[in-house]
Amino acid sequence: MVLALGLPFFAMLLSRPLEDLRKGSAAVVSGLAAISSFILLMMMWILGGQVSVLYPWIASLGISFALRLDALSFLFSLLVTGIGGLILLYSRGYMVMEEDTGRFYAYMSLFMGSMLGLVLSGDLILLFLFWELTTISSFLLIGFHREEGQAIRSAIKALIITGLGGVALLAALLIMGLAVGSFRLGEVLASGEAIKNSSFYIPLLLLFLLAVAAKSAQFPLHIWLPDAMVAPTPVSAYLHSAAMVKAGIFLLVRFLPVLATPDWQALLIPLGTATMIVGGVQAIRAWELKRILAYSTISQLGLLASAFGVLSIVGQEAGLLHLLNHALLKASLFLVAGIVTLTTGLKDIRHLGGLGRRMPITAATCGLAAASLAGIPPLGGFLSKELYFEATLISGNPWMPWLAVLGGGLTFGYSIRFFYAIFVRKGNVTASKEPLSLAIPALILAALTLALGVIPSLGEGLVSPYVHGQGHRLKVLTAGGLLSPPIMSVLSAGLGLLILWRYEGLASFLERANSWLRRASPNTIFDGMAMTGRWACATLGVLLQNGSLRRYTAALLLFLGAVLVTPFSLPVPEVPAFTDVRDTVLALVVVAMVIFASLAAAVRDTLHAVLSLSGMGFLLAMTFMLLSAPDLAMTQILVEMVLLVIFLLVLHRIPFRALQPSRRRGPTDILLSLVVAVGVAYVVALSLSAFYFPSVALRYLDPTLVDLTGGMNVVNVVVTDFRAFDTLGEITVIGLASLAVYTLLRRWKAD
Amino acid sequence: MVLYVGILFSLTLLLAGHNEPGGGFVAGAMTASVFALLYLVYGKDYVEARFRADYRSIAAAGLLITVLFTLLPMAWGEPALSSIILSLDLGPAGSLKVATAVGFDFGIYLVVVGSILTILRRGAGGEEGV
Repeated sequence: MVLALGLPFFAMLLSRPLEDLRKGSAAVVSGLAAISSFILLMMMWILGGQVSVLYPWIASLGISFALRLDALSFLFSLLVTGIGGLILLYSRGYMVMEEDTGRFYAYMSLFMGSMLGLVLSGDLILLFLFWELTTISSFLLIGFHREEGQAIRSAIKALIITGLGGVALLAALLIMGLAVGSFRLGEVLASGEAIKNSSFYIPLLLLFLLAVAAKSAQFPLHIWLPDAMVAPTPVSAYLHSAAMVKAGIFLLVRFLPVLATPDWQALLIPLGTATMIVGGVQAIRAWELKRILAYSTISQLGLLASAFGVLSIVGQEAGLLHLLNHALLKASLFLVAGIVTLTTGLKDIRHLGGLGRRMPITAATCGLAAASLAGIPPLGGFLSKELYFEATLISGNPWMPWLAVLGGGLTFGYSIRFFYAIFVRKGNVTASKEPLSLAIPALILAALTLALGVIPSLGEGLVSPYVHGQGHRLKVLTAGGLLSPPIMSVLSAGLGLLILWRYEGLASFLERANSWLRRASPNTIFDGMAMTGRWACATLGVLLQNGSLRRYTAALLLFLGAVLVTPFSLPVPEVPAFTDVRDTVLALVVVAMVIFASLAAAVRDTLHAVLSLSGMGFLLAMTFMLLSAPDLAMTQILVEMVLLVIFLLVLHRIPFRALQPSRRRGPTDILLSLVVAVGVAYVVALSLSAFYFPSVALRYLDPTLVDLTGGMNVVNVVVTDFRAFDTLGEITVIGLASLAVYTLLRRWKAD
Repeated sequence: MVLYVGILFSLTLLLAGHNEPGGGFVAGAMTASVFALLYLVYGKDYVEARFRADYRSIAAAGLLITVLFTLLPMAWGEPALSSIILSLDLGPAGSLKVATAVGFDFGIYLVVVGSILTILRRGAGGEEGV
């Protein structure tokens, strides 16, 4: 299983060099990787059923690298790898015009691997890790066209919102893990009752739902998804319809045994239904191809969320089946949109038409997918819609069935219109030849949704292993009462036809309503928040960072001095005695250092000051040597040398004028130096006298530890073994600092 | 000439680190100083004509290696960041005891070299010595 998970990551690493060699090759390799994973997972499931893998990771915290293949993760991983593979093959043809495709395939594989890891994860923290990875890869993919301002803005917007969800998720997972006493998924799922009855259930639920809402574009956090359409079409098809946005829904299903209570139902159903309606309305209003589909996705995600809000098996069945269907058909529709835009150069649906003759395969694909979305039999979408209607009837919520009908009508309206406007109605649009390599993958996806409709047992086979745990059947029947699923379907179809008949009028009405409502929209709120943030930073920046280096250092030192002196009540530290010759030499060296320091302060120009400071540095190295610390001494000497060189190089560039000290500020400088000097000296003396703080180093000076690490040098062993994690952090900071310097000094080239 | 001796010495420092004074940071600083010297004396163009490398990539590679060695023990079933001591048999030359912490150290070395040189190069842009 680790292999299946690892393949996409492996493909990611290979992508860039492969693309440089031969364009399009990375697509094939990544596609193959996806399909291989697909087959591997399929085989594992058929042969073995549920499988778990476990490697200890951070043993001290109880976090393990655990993977878990069960009915749910199997379903999802098939989706991820299968649809992913097809889309990668599609990309090969689609991305011909693009540059830097190596980067594209690398990001796509990164995403695939992360999503796969997310669904296969058997450990809470590991799940969070992969969740964040999907956020990051989505960010990278949305902002793929790095030079376009809109792309950057959309990517940042998505990052902020889904990142916020990520933080909420971490909090929720931590609460769960700590409450249960383990981060292993199996154990958490078994402790459902305990969690549901505990005192922190409500905060936990809220945090959890926040994460779900952010990632799966529920109202009002849905605003990032329409803007994410600036990404290349394969990205929209994969991430933003079939995979990433489904991650939130996955979370819902995964943790349903643990969190599902009447509270869950009370929150989720309104949330989902509202999203469904809002999305549907916006889909009718929109005219840009991909935006229509984006709003449609939002609407369908709302439907899915509300389906899992219903605390009955039917809800889960409906949700899973519809999830499957929707992933297939939405991806297919996006691919169609891509083909249309590629061949006609148009994105506005109002200007399209008459493409049915030119592109029969694509038209057929679109027709199938749109019909499935609208819920027309015998397509897969019909079955899942029916199940959903049944779920709404059982939900106990009187509004839900009616709203479902409304949602269904809206969906019917915009999906049939989508097909009609592009392919059926008369139009004179010039289009190039139908690209087969693009049309075929789309057709396959649409055909699958047809298959799911025509052969119900297929869907049942995929969904029921999960549902079996609770035992149920997959049938579409009436539930009695005034409404029943077939009647609801008829009603929503009728509503849909009504909408179609009056489509143009409705669309322009909605457009006007929209511009009127814009002031209250979440988008406006988001933009407002972003602007306020920027204003606050700018103002603060002007206040604190007026460009004067003196101000910065003065502020730093003042703060340092204050912090050091305040907390300690004032015991007198002991002074070590002078016991042998070495100590005298040491004392002399220190005196020399003090002299150098005063020179640095007294001298007129910066060059000499720098030299004095360097001299101090070398003297410091000498003290290290005298105190038997060769590592430190060597490092100090080298660092001092490098610093000196850098200083000299930098000084060479600064205009001479800026270096003269000013007479006026003399007294403040002296006071500042005294405060800091006294503070630091005091703290150092205190720590050395072992009065307050027992020596940490003693723990590592134990000779028996040599066997553990094989090393006799304490300093090195501490750095690379006992405190290796700290070191990891340190070198990351060093790397980042050098990048920062690099970027900041970029302007100098121009001088 | 100085360059080669310098690099050799820093590698010695790096490998010896576990038992003798040395280690990744020092070795990295050493190599960087040697390069600094070259930049100072000969200037940017000379040095870069002979040594073409993107310093940022070196630093990034170092980070990658460190992370790799952090995760490597997991392949043996140990939690991450464990150190494993391997014994290599070199026939007549006796056996060599090596700890995987060396790999970690090597990563540190590259990060330090890469970072310092990135900064240095920025400062040295276009100069013929100081």
